[in-house]
Amino acid sequence: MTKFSRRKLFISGAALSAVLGARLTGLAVAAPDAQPDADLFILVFLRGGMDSLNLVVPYADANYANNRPDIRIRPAGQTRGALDLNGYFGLHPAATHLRDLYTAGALAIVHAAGLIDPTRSHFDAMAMMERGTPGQTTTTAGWLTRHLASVTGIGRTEVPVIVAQSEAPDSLLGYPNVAAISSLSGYTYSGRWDQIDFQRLAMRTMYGSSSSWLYQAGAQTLDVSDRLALASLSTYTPQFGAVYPSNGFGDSLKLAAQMIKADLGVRIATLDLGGWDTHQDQGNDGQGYFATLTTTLSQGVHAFYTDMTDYVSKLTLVVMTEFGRRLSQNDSGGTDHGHGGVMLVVGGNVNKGIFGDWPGLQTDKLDEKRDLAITTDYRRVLSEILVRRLKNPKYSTVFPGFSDYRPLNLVKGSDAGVLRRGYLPLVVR
Amino acid sequence: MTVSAALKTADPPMPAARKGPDDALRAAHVLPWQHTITGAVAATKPPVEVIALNRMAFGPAPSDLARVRTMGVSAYIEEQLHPSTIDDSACYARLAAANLQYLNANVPTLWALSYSEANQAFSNVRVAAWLRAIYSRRQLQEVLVDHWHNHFNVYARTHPITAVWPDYDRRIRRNIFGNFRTFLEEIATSTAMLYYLNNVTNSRAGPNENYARELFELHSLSVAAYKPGVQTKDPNWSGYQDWDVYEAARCFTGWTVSNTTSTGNTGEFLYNDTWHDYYQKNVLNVQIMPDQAPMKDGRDVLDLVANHPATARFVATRLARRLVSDNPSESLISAAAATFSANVAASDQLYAVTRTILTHPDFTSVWGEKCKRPFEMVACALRATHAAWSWTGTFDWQMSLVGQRLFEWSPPTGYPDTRDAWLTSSFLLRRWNFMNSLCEGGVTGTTVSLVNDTSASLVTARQVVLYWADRVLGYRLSASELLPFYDFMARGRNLDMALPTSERNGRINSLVALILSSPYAQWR
Repeated sequence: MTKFSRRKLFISGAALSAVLGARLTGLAVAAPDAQPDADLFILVFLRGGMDSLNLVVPYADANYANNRPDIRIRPAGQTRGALDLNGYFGLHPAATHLRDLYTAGALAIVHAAGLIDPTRSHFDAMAMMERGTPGQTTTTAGWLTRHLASVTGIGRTEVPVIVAQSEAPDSLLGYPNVAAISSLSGYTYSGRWDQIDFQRLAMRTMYGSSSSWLYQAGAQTLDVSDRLALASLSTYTPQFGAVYPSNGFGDSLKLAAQMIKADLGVRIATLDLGGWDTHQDQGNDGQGYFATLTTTLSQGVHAFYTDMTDYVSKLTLVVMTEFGRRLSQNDSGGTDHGHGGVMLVVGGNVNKGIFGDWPGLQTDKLDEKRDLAITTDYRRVLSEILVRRLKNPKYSTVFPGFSDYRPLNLVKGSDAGVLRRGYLPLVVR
Repeated sequence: MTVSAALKTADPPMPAARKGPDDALRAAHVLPWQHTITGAVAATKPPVEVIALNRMAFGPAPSDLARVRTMGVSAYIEEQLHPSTIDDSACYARLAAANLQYLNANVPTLWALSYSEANQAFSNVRVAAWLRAIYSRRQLQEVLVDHWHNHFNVYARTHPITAVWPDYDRRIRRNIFGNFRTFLEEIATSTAMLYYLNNVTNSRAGPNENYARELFELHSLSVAAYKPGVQTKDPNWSGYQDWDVYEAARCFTGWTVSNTTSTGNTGEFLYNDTWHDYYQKNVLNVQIMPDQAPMKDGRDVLDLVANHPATARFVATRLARRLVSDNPSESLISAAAATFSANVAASDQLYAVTRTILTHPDFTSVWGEKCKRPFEMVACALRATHAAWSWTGTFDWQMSLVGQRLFEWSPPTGYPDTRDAWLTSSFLLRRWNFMNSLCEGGVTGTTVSLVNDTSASLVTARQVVLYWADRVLGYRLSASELLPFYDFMARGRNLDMALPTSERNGRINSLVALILSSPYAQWR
């Protein structure tokens, strides 16, 4: 079997432009999609611990409003009330676009989901979640990295993984083939016009002369920048009337859509929306800071989904956060770090609904008597998506030590090839 | 070397599984792309003087390197550990010329500034940080000021933090060689930190635990000493638990800022007795008695964390990570932690800890495992090229592209100091483009004269390459490492024949950018 080598494609130097056309044509043939049946996977991480109780509001639970006299969302039907989902839960009034996705059957919600670990530290919680190893913050690879490692050939396309910002998340820790791109403008190696081709040749020679970490990162960077420079991605018009929010999150989503449509072989895209650490002044009565952030999230996800209309049958998007926040508001008009959160799953093969067991908000049902409990391990949600949508049955390779495959039926798809609990070989220490 | 030989065609080897807690977790470490990086990097290892200057200074600027070569690394370390003995009048002159009017202003003055004046106050600090990094001879001091800013990170671009930023910077600067307990209280009572981590609103009626949590997690004991779970409080646990965070938050109730007319509205620290929770608390298994004297509860907490062995270890690890490697050796960490603990009451405790690290064998032996962050890389480039630098919007924008605007890291963790954070394609590419832009004169406000700096006696490709590679890197690369630079400069001509002047002069700027973009210039 001949292995496709990207770096061979890039003959640098003066001859570069002369051979481009032919090389690129060859590329499209040389790198077939290794996983034609699998979905595109988009991961949106809400940094800071999103207040799940104010995004998906249990308005019918009296303990909810009693513990949040100022910042609570009113029951559905009232002015600035929750956008009703099922008579018990409703969305934040600013989340009209998410409500539209729900109505259209494209949104599944898993409440009381999260990391099975008692930590209240942002940094620990994110480190464990993104590595896919609850209790362990020092694992050297992220869960998406292990997914990519466990599917033959998935990393062989030109740009298999994009991060629509400058820094790669820990879910991709240890994966070298990440194109982290916060903006396409200037995403080329650029210097003086009559020297740059020779500089590029020198750079390729230098960074190609060893396989050590720094050299590898440099060679990869040269590959990605050359490939994008050749793809002519200068202008982009969203399709189907999609209107992205005019902010960094909207720009990142738009960039992801553009890259996916450019046929570079993107399989996975990740991006963040930060600012959810609402210790103070998160906004009263469905207004203020949290409402603004919710609008950004809701409008952004909806715009992306709309823009990607041609792809939705092969697209799954997950929104997650490191933890939810305390049931009771604090005296700064905010909420401190809590436990149970919420996960959103958006896609063309989603089963609409609210999933997971609702533990309730009575004090004795709360985690440590103060925070929403977790009834669904976030790995259970992601495992179902791995198996059914990303066509990777090796969920317990992706989540080491997790062997409890019990799909919630969030998405359509087959469980073929899955090793269920009890069928795993014993681990010999 | 041919192009094809330079292109990597083989997949990296599969590494052997590392030791893990169990097979499942071990499997999590095995990745087909992972390179074995345990072996020595085949690159030339620089001499100790160069390694030292990449770590305790902003790179091996020619003048500093010449001094270290003359006096020796040990003497240079001793000199740098005593910054007041170093004549820095040239840098002072530059600071004076930059007209940084708010740099020394006190808090009430800063507090009264208008919005635009407050931005000016912030900007003054940042301009001073750059001027000092580039031009100060007290290089270690400036490296450590940056380190401690990140240790006690505050995002400075929100009001009123912006206005009082000169005060916060001064608190950092005067404590880098001081006592850690004193340092903690200077930070805890700073207007900037009180606002950043919300202690300004922490009262007995509504405790806000944000500062207390980060005090434990990021300033002192570190998350390594954290055992989650309040209901299962373990009296035998020597570190901290959520319970300790809640209790410590109560200890700091009333530590706030004079920010209302009734309290004087000076913007200074204010202990508000009526906000304080007087009931007893228990922090780190130590009983804190009810009705203590004003501020005593909070000071008791600071005493407890400053004396905790986990704090010694964490402070030592972070400093060693800054000054030596991403993963400092156990020998280095325990030596520095021991110094921390032995000097816990000393007024020069952090001087002693820093000294232990700089005089440890690891300081000049470990190499090739860590990269410069953008601040360090750009300052290093400006020093190596003898740039005439001034602050401009273009410079600020270019620093944002490479990922490190000083004092603008929003989480309380500080700018990351491990290589993974800085090696994404985005950051690397822009770092190279920054070097190209700098050398081509594309950074507004910064002037370099690389062609003029190249003596007319240097006429062959080999001479020009060796001059600039030696000057930028501070040591001689191997023949194979020099080859790409030779190829670039000679373009097929004889290496040892005089180049036509137009070719020589037309390539020098790009050559220097290439050297600055090479792997050899990135290591720290």
